[in-house]
Amino acid sequence: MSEATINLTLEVWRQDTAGSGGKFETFKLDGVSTSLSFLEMLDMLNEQLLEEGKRPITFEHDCREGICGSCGFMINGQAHGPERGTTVCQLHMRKFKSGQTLVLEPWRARAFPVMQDLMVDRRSFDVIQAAGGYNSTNVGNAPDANAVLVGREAATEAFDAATCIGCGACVAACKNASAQLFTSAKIGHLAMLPQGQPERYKRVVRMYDAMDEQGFGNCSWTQDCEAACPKEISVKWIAKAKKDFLKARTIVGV
Amino acid sequence: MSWLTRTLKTGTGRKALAALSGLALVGFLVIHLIGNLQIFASSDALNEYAHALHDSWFIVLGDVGLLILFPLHIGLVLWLVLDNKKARGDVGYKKHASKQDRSLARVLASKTSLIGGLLLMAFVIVHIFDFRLAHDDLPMKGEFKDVKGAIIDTLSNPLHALLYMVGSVLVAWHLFHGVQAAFRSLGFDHPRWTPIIEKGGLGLAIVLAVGFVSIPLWILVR
Repeated sequence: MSEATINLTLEVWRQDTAGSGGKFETFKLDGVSTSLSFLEMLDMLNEQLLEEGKRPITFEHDCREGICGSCGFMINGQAHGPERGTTVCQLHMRKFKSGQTLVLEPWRARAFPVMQDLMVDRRSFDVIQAAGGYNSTNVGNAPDANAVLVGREAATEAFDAATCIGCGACVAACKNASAQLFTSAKIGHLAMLPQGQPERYKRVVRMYDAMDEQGFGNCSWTQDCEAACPKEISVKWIAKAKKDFLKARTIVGV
Repeated sequence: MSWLTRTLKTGTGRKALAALSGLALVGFLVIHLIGNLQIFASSDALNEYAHALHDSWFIVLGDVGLLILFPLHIGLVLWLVLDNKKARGDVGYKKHASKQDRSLARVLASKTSLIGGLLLMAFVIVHIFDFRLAHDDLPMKGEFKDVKGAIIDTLSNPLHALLYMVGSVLVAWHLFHGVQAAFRSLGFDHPRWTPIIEKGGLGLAIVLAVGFVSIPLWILVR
């Protein structure tokens, strides 16, 4: 059986350097195998561009297994493309039809300045994480596995939050470019575990303050973030983190 | 900086206060509707109720409370909106689509809460001029001011009645999103209670819409 192929028109945001401004450029790409991943399709286009002596399209990628959080851009206005619970590297061309026009844009947020084409600078996420997303006490080697008992439900929930890969799709999809889902997932997974308790309230205040300082927007409970998240992290974490933040400020006194 | 100013400088703190003021306004609306529905009584029950209300400290509490709550709620939200607009950056999206599988109405209610809220504010201003500020100059009917007559008089104009029906639906649309969002903004999340709050907010929105719309509608078809 011959392999199915499709023909596509791609409108891609091209920008040479950070702050230089940019514009959309249209490319025709024929004979795209439906077995390719989206990034492999872009690799195919980039090889053509290199052969023509043009600058290839810049996009971030690393593991291509959907677990590193490097890749991500908007495909026809949807973060990581149309499929739910998927990073763009795990999205396959069989999800698209021949003749389709796809608009590819970088994440748009003041806190995520575009570096080149589809690649943005997500160091603002590192700043939030560095503000408190850890335990500050050095306790030596890893303790014995069962020395600290963690309930089954708490462990599972903590893991759900910890699956956040920091890709930035939540910010990109949110109408307010809010980083509440990312920040609350980082806060939430430590708040579920005994190891996270001593610094629980200091952590939420520091991380929320860092989030505001980086210039992210606020939460309107539209819930586009949850729908765009490749790890399908629930907006319940936002409510939980808000509760900790308000408690920290009003009752705990942080 | 005190803990309060530091909290209110953060988006989350402001959102929580906007949520609290919003919920207080919802409480006012419920009392307002219960009072209004007395217009359906055949007697002058509404006039008597209005007289008792305006004779008591409750009217001062209501006036002062609303004078604080409305500007506070609107001001805090507009402040948040300015932050949100800035957060997207200088270049917006050419295309922006949702991946949600929640009901379209819920998503739309959230995305239109700002414009709906602004329209609602315009309606409330008209409403205050129509009834609250006109109250002192109303003619007497028996021992009480003829509030019922004034309402019937004003809303007998079909365009005016339509404005009030639209205003009533707007408030319901605002609460459909607002009630559950307010609880969440205050940090409330529970696997059993959050869905009940979502349904409760919808139920309350429907009750308020039907209740408030019924008055101009009754006056028109009576």
